[in-house]
Amino acid sequence: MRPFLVGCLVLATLLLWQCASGPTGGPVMGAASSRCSKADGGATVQETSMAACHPDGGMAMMANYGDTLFNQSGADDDCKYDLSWTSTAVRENTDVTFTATVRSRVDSSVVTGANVVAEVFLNDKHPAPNSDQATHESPMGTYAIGPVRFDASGQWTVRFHIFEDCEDTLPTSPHGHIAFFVDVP
Amino acid sequence: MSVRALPLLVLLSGCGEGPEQSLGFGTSPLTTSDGQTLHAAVFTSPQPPQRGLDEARLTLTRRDGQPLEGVMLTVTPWMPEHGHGTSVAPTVMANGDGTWTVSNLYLAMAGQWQLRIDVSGAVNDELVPSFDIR
Repeated sequence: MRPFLVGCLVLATLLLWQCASGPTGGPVMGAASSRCSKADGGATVQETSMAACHPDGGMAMMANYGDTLFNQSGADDDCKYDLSWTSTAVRENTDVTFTATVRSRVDSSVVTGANVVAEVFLNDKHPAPNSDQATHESPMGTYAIGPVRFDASGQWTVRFHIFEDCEDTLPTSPHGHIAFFVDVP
Repeated sequence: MSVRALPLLVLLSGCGEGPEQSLGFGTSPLTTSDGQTLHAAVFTSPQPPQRGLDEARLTLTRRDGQPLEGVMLTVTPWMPEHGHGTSVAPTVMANGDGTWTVSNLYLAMAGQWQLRIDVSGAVNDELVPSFDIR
């Protein structure tokens, strides 16, 4: 009986180790985005203004989501911000926290009060399950977003929405979005 | 059960998935909308809906009181203030009793949302109930 119990203990330990330290995923590496680069070597920069967050009247423009990006940094779909991100270990069915830093493309200053949220999906039929995602800004311009839970392996998309409570009526609206691929083993 | 089956049980138990949420639809509509011909009442689960994954039940009736049959629905979640919807397509299923269940309703952000309901077939109509998510 004693060898059997020892075997059980070893199996349980192995299982716990597998759950806590299995293979991890993360960013999908690939070509850097050039969406805000001009042919002449210049850069496209869209200024923003908090006055355009809740303007009087007007209709929201149809948002055109840009391509989902590889790597861990890039310009948002409208060339308003540069966003870079890191995360805690990415594993299936594990709470993951993303840390995103947002900078203005006008002067590279950190963007505060942006209330960045993440839209997370594997494909157009499979969103991430509810996980009471919340956003905390600390230090200023850096946003911890989570928990996010990936409930299947595969190449997921994480779309960060910046100033998600602002209307997107004017080109200078602070509202923005940028998506990245995230690999979940 | 044999004590020798315990290790297998431990292995099969997986890596700790969270508990399923138990949610129910509201008993009175969250919101309603009138089209040219139809009236829509929207119930959600949970109600009020939360940021993230929700489910909706739509009740459609003719405004003239006649029974509604032979129609198809498409439902598009939309944020009118942002000019975008959601990256996940909801699934619409007819329940056969004048109600439809909209699952996989992924409303990732707080703000005003619309459910753009296009009805086609025996009746063509468009309804746009809206609600807020906080």
